[in-house]
Amino acid sequence: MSAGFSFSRNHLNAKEERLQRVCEILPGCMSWTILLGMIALSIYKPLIAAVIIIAFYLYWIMRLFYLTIFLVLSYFRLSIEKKTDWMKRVCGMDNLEEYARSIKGVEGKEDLRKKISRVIHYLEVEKIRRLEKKTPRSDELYHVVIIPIAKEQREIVEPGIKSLAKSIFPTNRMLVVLALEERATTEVKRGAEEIHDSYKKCFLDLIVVPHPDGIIGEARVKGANATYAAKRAAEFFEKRNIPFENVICSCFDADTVVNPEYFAALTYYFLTCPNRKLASFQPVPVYNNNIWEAPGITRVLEVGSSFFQLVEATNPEQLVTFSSHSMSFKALVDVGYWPVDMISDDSAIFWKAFIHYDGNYRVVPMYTMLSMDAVVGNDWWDTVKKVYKQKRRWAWGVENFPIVTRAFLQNNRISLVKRFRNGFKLFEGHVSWATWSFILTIIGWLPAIFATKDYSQSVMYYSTPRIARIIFNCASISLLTSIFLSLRLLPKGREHGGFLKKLGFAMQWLLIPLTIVSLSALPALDAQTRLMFGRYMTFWVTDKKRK
Amino acid sequence: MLFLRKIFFYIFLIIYLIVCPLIILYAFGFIFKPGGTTKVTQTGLIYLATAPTGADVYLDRKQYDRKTPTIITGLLPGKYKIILHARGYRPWTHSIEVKVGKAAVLDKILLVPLKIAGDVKAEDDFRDIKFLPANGHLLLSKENTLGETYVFDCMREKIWPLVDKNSTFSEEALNNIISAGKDNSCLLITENKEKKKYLWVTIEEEKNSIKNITKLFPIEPTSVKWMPQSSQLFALQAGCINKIDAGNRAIYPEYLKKIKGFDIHESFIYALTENNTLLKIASDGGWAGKTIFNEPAIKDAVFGSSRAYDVKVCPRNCMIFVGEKGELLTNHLPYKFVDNGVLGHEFCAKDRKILIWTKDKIGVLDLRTERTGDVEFEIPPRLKWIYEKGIDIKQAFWAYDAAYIIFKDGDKVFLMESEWLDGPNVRDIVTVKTGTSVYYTEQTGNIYYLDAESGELKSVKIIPDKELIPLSFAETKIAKEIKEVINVGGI
Repeated sequence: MSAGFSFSRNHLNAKEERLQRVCEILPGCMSWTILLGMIALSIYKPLIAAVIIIAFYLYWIMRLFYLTIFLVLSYFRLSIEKKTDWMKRVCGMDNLEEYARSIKGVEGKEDLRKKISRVIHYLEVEKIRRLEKKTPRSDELYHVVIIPIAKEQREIVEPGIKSLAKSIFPTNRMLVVLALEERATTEVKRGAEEIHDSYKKCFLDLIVVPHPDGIIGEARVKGANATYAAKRAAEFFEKRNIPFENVICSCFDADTVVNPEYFAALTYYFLTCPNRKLASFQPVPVYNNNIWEAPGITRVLEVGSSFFQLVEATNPEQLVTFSSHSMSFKALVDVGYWPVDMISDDSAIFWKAFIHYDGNYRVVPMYTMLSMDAVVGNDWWDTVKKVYKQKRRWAWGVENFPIVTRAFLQNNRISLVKRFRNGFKLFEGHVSWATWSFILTIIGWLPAIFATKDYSQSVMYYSTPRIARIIFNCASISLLTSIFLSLRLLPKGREHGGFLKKLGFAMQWLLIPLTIVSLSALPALDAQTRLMFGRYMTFWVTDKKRK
Repeated sequence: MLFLRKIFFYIFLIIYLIVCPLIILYAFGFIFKPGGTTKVTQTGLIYLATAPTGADVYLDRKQYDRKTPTIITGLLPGKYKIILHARGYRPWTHSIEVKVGKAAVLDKILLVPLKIAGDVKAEDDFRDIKFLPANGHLLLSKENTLGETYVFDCMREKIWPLVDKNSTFSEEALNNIISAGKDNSCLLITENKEKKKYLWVTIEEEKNSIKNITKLFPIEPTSVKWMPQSSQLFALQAGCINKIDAGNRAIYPEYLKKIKGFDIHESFIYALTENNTLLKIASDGGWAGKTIFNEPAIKDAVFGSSRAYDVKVCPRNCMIFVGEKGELLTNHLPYKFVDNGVLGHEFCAKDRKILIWTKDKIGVLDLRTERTGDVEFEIPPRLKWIYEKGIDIKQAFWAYDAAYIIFKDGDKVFLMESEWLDGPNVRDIVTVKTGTSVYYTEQTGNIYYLDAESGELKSVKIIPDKELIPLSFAETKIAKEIKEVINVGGI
């Protein structure tokens, strides 16, 4: 275990500070080098630029197909678990041996999806049975749900609380903590109190923990609020002699709404996870709370985020926590809770645990969904601005890179392969986020625009657009697949939209070239540039609105 | 899932590593030709685009399966004979050389209709046609008086009298027209009973306004130039430039003295003095100006051969000087390009080329300076005479983005390619009324002329309108027709 490393960019010695700054500059520098370098090449050496662009387009289409395959597989996996009775599985885990035998085979005909689900379930149960003769009993497990609130009013928070109250998992073993910022408005505070009065009796307890403003060492970040609340939750469990090993902690956004099976599913994944203390649990986030009220650009982006998580779920070795997620409360306490001076608390807690446990920490993908709000503003332009800010905040996760790099350089207990692979993925992920869209939509055409006489009279000048056209036509296969799956992910129910509305939703995918540049790549480049110049972002709470 | 992911990863990686170099090689023009001496060969391509689109393509007498615009790839280096044919148009033939890794680009091919029948635009029997290129208007005269002169708007295709029949200027005979830059105004120099008049005319639809500003021209000017977007003129009279404000009817005499020629460009006066110095002065007098050219060793050699020059300042740092004997000079070395005989010129800003014509020749002066490949060796401006069989060339125009030249030789109007590989490919278009001018505008792609027999104003569309969706032709019918046309043409 790496107890000595401080997961923060503050309070560093001179040498560490220099290394920190160098690593902060690297991602932005690389992104700008790629973009400006390609522009310069397109002007001065268009032939070389065209060759690089063709190679890039081919790489991009290969990767797109590769990701599309796993998107489909992951979606299929998600769909086969839609009707799973998770609580039944949880209860079955209390008698592991017998239960394993009972699920090995069934009599009579079985639906293919059910069969696949059962087989996967059996393999998971068998695996844990071989590793641990006995798992914790389901009636010994508790959940703590921490919901940080800064500006969210009752109408935003309450649906989430309601959904928790409807959980199939016994709610008398759920502690709900409303982590309320002291600087929140009176209205927000009143809303939290009203929720407390209305729903306290539904759970083991529902407590409101006011987070004092201006604690030394803390920035105005969600992680500080969540950490303060988690410490109060720890005191709660200690008072009642509930061991932290039996507590699963979930940190939810204020607008998170779960399905009734969610906590049962979480409990199941917790029980079937070997070394469950050394894992986080990541559901698939969708943004269906207000999807029909959100404009097209928002919908396309939010669905894209869900797809990203679906694809990432197929590669658990390199999965990182995002947004609302869960983990062992014991692990949370051991690693020192969420960072109190970082904006990207959701991903930072994973890296913090990864480093703390010398690389023996992972994320378990959960094939169940939870729903949040899509960003909606007062009008279209207001929505665009808010979406931009939200994506920039997400892209601010690049702040993890320098800290993780410093940790990796110091920690020899993590294998070199793991350090390199994770470090590279973190770096490459952010750089490609900021650059690919620009290359695909704008830079790819520059050699033709700035063509010198020599280049415009070469075979390459005429071949490149033809090859690009063929590649983009092939990409339409992925686009159609995405449109199809995005429609499948939409909330059901006639009141949510007839055929025309769904058709409109599908057509909004044609906005992708515009949206990925302006509301995905540009915010990412913005965030990396700020980090590069040391202009650290203050936290901007995403404005949640329901119409 | 992880295992599956790894398998797919390596499969895609292998596919990428194999496919990517092959595609890049293909993009460079490499093809795989089994059975030959070298199996992998680098090829070139030909890009063909015609106006109108949809022409059949024949490559070395074999019909290619696509119509224009098209790219023919995978061509081994060498010469190819290309025939293009579209229904109702004359076949177009050329030999094209394909080089390794290079594209032979022929993107400005004009197909000429088999039968050219001009559209009648104005039915009367006109005797002369003059044009105001600034605003796309023509002046058509039935008689040589303003009362029998009409204005024709090429864009809107409307015609109206230049002056009222009852106007005091109706008996004036039109001598010369000096057009403003982009205004609807022009200066008419007329004569009646041996008295010259200078009339400032603003062309407005259906009703033109005319002001007599003769008093502002005490001496007949050698040349008059407009200040764009204003009512100010600069007239070269007896070696002095006088500034004339036609709107306020004021003269500012001897604005510049001892001048051999001048032009106005972007609010500056470029004046060539009698001691062969070239000056640049602000037209509003607000700036003293500067000397552009005053090399004692060479200025007399450059400009000394003529007492007067027609000066034209063009965009992109180009100045053209035409002397009394028709010698042509520019501000690029070696300065003098033609010793005598130049009757007119037209500058193409896009390609920096000057179209020059004499009585019997048409040439192109290419001012583009290039470096030869990787070697830092500059290629100077070069003059190429592309047509030397003229008899009485009076006018010439750039057409179709300077890919073609339209010129009038005697009473015939011809169309010719400005750059060619195996001959200029001159095609006759129309025969016009003897002694009249023609007018070509790139805006409409039409040639305007007076019919040789009826004197009617007619137009011929040279540049077809751009099609939104190219139409395809019925193939079987075309195949038959082509054979006949080809046989008749002796191609």
